[in-house]
Amino acid sequence: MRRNYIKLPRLGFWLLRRVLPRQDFIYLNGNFEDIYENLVHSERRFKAGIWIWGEIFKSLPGFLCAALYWRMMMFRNDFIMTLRNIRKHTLHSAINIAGLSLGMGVCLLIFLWVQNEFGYDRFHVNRGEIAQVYSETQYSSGSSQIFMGSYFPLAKVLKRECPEVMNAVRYEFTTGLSLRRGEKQFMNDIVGLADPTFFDVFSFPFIKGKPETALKENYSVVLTENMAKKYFGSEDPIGKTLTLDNELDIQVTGVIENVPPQSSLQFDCIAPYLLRFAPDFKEPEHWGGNPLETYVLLHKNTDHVDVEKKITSIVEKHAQWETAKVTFHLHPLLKKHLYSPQGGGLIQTLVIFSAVALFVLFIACINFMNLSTAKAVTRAKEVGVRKVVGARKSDLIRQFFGESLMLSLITLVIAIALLAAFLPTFNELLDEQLSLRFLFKPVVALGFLGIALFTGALAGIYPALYLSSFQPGCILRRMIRTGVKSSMRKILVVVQFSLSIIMIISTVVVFKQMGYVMSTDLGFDRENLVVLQMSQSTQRQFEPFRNDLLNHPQVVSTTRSLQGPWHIGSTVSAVDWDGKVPDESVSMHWDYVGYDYFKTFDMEIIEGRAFSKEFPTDQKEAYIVNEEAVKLMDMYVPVGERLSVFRNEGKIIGVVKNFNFQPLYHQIKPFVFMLRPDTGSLAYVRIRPENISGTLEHIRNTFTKFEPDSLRDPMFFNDILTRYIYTSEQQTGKISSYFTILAILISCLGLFGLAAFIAERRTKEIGIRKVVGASMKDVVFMLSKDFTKWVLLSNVIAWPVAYFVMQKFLEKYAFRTSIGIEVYVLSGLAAFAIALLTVTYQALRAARANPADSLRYE
Amino acid sequence: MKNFTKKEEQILLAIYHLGNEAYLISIREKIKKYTGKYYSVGTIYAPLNRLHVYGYLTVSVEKPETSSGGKPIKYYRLTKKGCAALKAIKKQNELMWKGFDAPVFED
Repeated sequence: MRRNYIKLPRLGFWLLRRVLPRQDFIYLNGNFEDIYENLVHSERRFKAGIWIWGEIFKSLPGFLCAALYWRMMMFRNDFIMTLRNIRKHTLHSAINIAGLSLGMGVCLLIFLWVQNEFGYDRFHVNRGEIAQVYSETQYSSGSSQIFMGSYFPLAKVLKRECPEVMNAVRYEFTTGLSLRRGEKQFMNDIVGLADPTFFDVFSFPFIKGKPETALKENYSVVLTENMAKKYFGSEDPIGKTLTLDNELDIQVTGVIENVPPQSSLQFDCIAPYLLRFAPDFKEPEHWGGNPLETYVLLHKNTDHVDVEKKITSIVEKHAQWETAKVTFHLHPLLKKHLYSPQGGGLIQTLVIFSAVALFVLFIACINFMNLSTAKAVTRAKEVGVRKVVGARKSDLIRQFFGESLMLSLITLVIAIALLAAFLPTFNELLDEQLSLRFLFKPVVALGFLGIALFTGALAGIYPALYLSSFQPGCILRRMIRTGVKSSMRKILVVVQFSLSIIMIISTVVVFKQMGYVMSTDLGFDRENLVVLQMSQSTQRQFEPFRNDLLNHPQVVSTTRSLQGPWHIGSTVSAVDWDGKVPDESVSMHWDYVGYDYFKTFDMEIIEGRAFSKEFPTDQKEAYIVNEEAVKLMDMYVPVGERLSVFRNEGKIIGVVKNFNFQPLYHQIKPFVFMLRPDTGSLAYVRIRPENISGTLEHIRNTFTKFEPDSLRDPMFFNDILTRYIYTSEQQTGKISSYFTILAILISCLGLFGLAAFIAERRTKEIGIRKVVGASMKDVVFMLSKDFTKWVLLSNVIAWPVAYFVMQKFLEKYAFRTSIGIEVYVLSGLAAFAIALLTVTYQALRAARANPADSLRYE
Repeated sequence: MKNFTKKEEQILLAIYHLGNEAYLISIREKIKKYTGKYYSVGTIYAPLNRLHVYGYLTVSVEKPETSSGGKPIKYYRLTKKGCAALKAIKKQNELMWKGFDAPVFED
């Protein structure tokens, strides 16, 4: 007879059901019921209820320990299985590991770089509240221009009149000045000029001296640690004097820690801003654009839009500009490094390369998926046996998934080794200082681990689901076929090759545009043009310097100018001519140039004449404009017309053909030249193409004669373009070509593995075909037919995508190369050829095999 | 020989003493009787299960009519390997305890 026994409380039962080991649940539950029953019989029911809960909770750690123990045993088992599998299928594993570690290495590299770039300016205590003030000028033509340069009185006025602004500071840096202490003189230090409030806004920790008083004195300077060491060695620099540009004696009032590399503001020493106006220290009160930067420290949680409006109205009140409409904006310090107010910025490059890195990783993951599912037949029996013995689907998923995770952890180690090997090259390419020491940062370490796990998950999820879904009955009766899911495999290969082809096309286009940029006609002759940056003293002795330079048969002519025609950004709105619509706000770009400017640059004067020594009035009242300016002023016969620039009346004496004075992102804009033979720090030397090294030697010798300490070297105009103007294109081109090669390599690795596998599966078929009379050609054709189809299909998919992407890339150039169909066709053909080569190798090997060998065991 | 934990040793001994009547609850009671300590079900189960998997114990499931309302119960018995293990433990213990005299402390 069955006794009426008491069941456990329902919640307790539910909890035990979760926790207890499945196979023993029914016995253990029985045990608990026994205990409960005894308790109910001997105690009151309520007390028993509490007591049994105590028992259950006390048991939990024990059960968890047991579960964990068996998990660990299972894990050990899985681990051994993984290693065995890797060893057994050597080719398959080698392809997987090689592909995955290359893909992962690329991802790690880009991750390291991106996190480094995102770390800029984070060391400032007030990092969230600092912003740079910049202005945007609207012109009547509807266009507008952004100026990062600011105005002398802006900081003072804002601090006084804008309640949201807690503090404001002007900052400017110069590199052309020399600093001297006794005999020790160095040229290339970056001298920063800033208001005394600088150290209240920015956080540069002091080693010696006080931040509050450091820049109070007009003749003071704060050095960085390195700079102090360079000039003073182990001496205490405080109170000692340095001579700035051989003129001003300034006293060291403080030493700060070296400026971290991740800082947007880079300088070797900081001097008071007023030093700019030595010796009388009279600050100009006018509101004209200048190269200085103004930063403000706002109160917490201030609305930027509000402040921008306030600043605009405050400045409007003070400046009283006549025509131009100027609005002010704030650019947060934390965005300064990544975003440019004109739009774009470094962030675009980062996004592009992150995407490319993910592509490469994805291609490697596809290899893993394809090879794993292709190899499924060989593991089908294992799956069958496991299932028959009692493994559930979830157990198998866990096993296969665990395998891919484990593999990804192994590849992580290899990827880090690869990273260590290639980091120096990458650093050189990007001019960065990334190092593996970053691994000790928790963000980086976690990021790396995250990338590895992500890779494992991405690569492993599909094979795990696929393999675990086999029916044991079918497998063990040998009913499984390889062809079942091969459509998925085809799709993946097509995706893989589409990505690779897109990358090839993109790289080709980037290089083509770069070639166009470097070879297109700028409106002047950029070859054989040497540029020199002169110090203040050489600038003053320009005439003798110039004569010495010309004293060489290969030097054609020399000249000087204030701004380099690779990027002239400064504009003037104070222009007037007869017939100008009053109140129309316009702007022209301008430059001060020396004699022979047009001869040296080989610019074509299409009307009138160039500046000449024969006309002494040229220095004051002569202007040369470009065609675009003529169009703006709407003049029929421009030569001889009145023109006033900077409120200085004069006449147009010549018109120069349009030329590119800015990078090719920009259209050509109106331009006006003014003659100032005694200003400008840039010297240009036109040399003949013969015996260039000899001529350069002469230029260098002359330069050292005038500037014995200078570390600056003469540079070719074209080198300036590649090194300073089109750096991001250079980098993009180089890095993307590396990545493209990697992507192709990994794709082909996968194809190689797949082809090897298929050839192996069809050995018997090939044998029979050969016996029946197929030639080697037929067999090779048969085996490569499928792959050919896939790669051709990839081309069809890749072309429109690449077209769209490249259209976007070329959009930023006002002057751009054309992408003809040949770029697509050639890129596609290249991918096709590489793929075919890969497959044909395997096909040939299969076709060469002796049919007797493959058929013998039947 | 595998080094047994104290708990495993106690369980093996309890099963030895219980003979045919060793199941989880009775083992627990037995250990309580010897040591005065009440282990929770979970704490007993983990080593018990381990000992079984490693082959020191055999299991037989029985359905007694009255005592537990017809619920199946897992009975544990020592295997040959389990007996050998107990012998080895005893030997080891004796070896370690040999020559032990209650030490005299001097304050």
